[in-house]
Amino acid sequence: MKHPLKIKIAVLAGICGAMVVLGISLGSVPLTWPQLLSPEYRLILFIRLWRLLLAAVTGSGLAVAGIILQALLRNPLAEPYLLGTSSGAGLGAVIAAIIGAGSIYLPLSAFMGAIAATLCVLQLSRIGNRLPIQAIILNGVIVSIALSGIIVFLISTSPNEALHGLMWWLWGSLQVFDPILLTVVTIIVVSGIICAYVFAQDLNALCLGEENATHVGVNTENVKIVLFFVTAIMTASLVSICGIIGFVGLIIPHATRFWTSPNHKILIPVTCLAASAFMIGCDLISRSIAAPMEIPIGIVTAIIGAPIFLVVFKTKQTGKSKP
Amino acid sequence: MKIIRLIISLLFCFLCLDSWAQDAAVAKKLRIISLAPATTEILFALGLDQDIVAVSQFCNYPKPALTKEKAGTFSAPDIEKIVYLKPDIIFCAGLEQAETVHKLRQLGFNVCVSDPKNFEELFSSISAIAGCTHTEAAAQMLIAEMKKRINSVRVRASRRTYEKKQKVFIEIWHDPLITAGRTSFLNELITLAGGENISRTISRPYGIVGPEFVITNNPDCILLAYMQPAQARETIRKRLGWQKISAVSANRIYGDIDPNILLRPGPRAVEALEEIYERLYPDETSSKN
Amino acid sequence: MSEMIAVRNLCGGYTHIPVIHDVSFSIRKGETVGIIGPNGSGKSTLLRLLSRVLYPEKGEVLLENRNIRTFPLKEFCRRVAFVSQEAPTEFSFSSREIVAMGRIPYLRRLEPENQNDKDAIAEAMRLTDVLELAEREIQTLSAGEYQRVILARALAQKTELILLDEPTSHLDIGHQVQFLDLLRMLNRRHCVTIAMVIHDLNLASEYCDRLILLHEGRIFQTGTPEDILTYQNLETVYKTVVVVRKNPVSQKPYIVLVPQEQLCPRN
Repeated sequence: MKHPLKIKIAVLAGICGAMVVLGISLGSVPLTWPQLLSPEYRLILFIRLWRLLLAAVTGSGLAVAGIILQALLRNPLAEPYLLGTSSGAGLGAVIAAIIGAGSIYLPLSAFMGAIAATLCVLQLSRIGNRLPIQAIILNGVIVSIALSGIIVFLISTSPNEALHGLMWWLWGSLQVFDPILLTVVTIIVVSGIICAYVFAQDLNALCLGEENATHVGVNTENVKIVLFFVTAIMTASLVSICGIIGFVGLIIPHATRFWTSPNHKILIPVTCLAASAFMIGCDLISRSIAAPMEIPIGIVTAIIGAPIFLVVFKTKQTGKSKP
Repeated sequence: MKIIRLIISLLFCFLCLDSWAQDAAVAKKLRIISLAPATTEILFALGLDQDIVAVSQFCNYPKPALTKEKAGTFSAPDIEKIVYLKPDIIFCAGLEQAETVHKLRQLGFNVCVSDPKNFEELFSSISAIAGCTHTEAAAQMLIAEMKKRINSVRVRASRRTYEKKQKVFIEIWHDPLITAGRTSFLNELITLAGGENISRTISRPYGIVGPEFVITNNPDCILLAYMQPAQARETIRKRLGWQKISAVSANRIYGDIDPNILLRPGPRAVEALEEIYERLYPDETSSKN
Repeated sequence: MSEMIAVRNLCGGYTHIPVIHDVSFSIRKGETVGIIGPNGSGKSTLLRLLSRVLYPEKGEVLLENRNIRTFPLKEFCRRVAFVSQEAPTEFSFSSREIVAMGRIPYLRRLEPENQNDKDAIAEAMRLTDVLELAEREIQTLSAGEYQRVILARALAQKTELILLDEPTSHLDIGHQVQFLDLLRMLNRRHCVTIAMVIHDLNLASEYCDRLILLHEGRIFQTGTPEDILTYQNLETVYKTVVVVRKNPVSQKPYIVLVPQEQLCPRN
């Protein structure tokens, strides 16, 4: 914690760059760089680049959504799926699979499910024109559990083979080959991150509590509505194409906040770097550890993320107990 | 912007691949990838051994398939490997591989899907595969051979119409208890072999049933369609209330048919048919020897 | 002295059930006003009705003859600052970052701090004597140090009025006097108007020009400490026996509490 910020950012940027290089070089087909750049294997190069881009976008999007929610809800366990997005998306996907809507409509159905679940949570929590924080957390948990129950019920009563194909959903996958979908989601996520950065001042103030934020001129109710909306759209679009990838949105914000600064003007860009490096690294591991099989990325983020979280948490604890 | 360039380049690749695939199809040597074990067996039976560049990890029959390049598992294709091998056609199975099929088609590959539920559909499937690969003559021979063997079993089964039909319970998995419904391939096999699938009331291909269902329907024999350890039959005998079932008391629990031939709608399905017939009417087999 | 804040027939509370009933008073520019009263009399609620955190059910609050709701929030916060009794948040900001948040009313969203802002922050930290704590994380500060940082944040807002909610409750005597001396200096030398909710009647007596005594959500009486702090008023409102003396040094009223066992039987 004593090293100056600039050095830490440089280290993170270096790690991120190294991950990108590794991500391009490694794959199930061993190819040298000249081979990759030749027109013959260009499609493989693009597949790898798409994957890296999606990993970076997914990591940054989920981590920034986590940052926003942790600041708005002032709860260290807040993460992007708290508003019911993951169960809502899952329900949308299962319904699409059951009615045989086909793989083309699955992302759209998942997106609508996620947004519907989030709107439900926010509407349930609303009192007049205000959105009380405790209500949101409680309602988010309740709605998530209820929707998960419906999903399990649907899966068990209609053993449609198509549902087997949805197993990847539970643990996430970065294999998306629709360039239009990828572009749309990238634009959504990048816009969301920029929006969060624009509101960095408000997020800083909200960390002090809503009352204190109001006392320094932050219109808390408006900010909450805008930022919940941004978080919901970002998370919903990511879940609808990648499935559920956990831990990134919870852990990376804590780790970067601890390592650099809680000031959102610094936290948001640094977290994007860190989350991208983390996701690309996890993606590399998921592809290479049990080659040619691929471990679902959500499992890797969990296995690697949990120890990181424990280390960060422990270090924070011991730091606090010192006089 | 970088994204726009990438999109344009990807579109360009699609177009190249598409036209190249069409050209390649006309040329003599096809590059085939099969991600479904049943389809792999069909391709080998049609004599396409040399044209297969890769199979899935679970394609284990016939023996030469084991030496082929592996392109992923049943549900998770190795996309990079597939792209690298530049196939002309990729064969996939039905609904379980829907996501895989979608992804491969998005990348511009020619994907053929087959998911036969009975012999009629299997023969159409074989003909379709032969049509894609210009092996119509071999297909006709294969189909004729299969029809001959099926008819032989059908005739023998019809001679036993004076008896009550044998009731059969197919156990595809033990926990949960999964069986084959009316629209499954196994149902067709049992019916053709002169038996009666007690689960034919289930309209789906597969269904989960409770043990009381089996006890109530009292099958004459039980077929296990999964690899089991040696004591499996003892365990089944010990299931609560199952001692009353005819199949259990008459010791007619058969776990010795290779599950791969039971569950793969391919050329060996006729072998499965014959094996099932022998289990249903063991007296005929023993008297033949 | 001109009127800065005018409260007219104010009714309000945290929910629709009002805690404050029909309260009217005014605060003049340059005054130090103390709001006192027993627990549950609505002191903190009243203060929050003045700071725009709570909406009034009835009545209005005027700042320089304009209803406070008609000001855009940031402009209001350039005129009125608030010092609450808060524990350091679990986010480990540095002291300077906390004080810098006091400049938010002057900064548009992506606008970086200019020299003006930096000067205001430095000045605020100098006045409150927290300059050497600038880079320390707030969780490492003591209660007294953190309270001064919060005050610095309010000072950085460069407002004409500061509202304080029991700013000295959890400070020891030394820090209490230090803090209130600082407020007095700001009031006298920098013309900052002060309105504070204060628990300790003796501190209120020493440091406030005027007192507002609240009782069950209504104003019991307003006036100078000499007028308000009589044993009759205090026994009625606080329902306990007190003795009022004069502080030998400042001549201000000085309240002595009387434990039960010291009471002589009365006729």
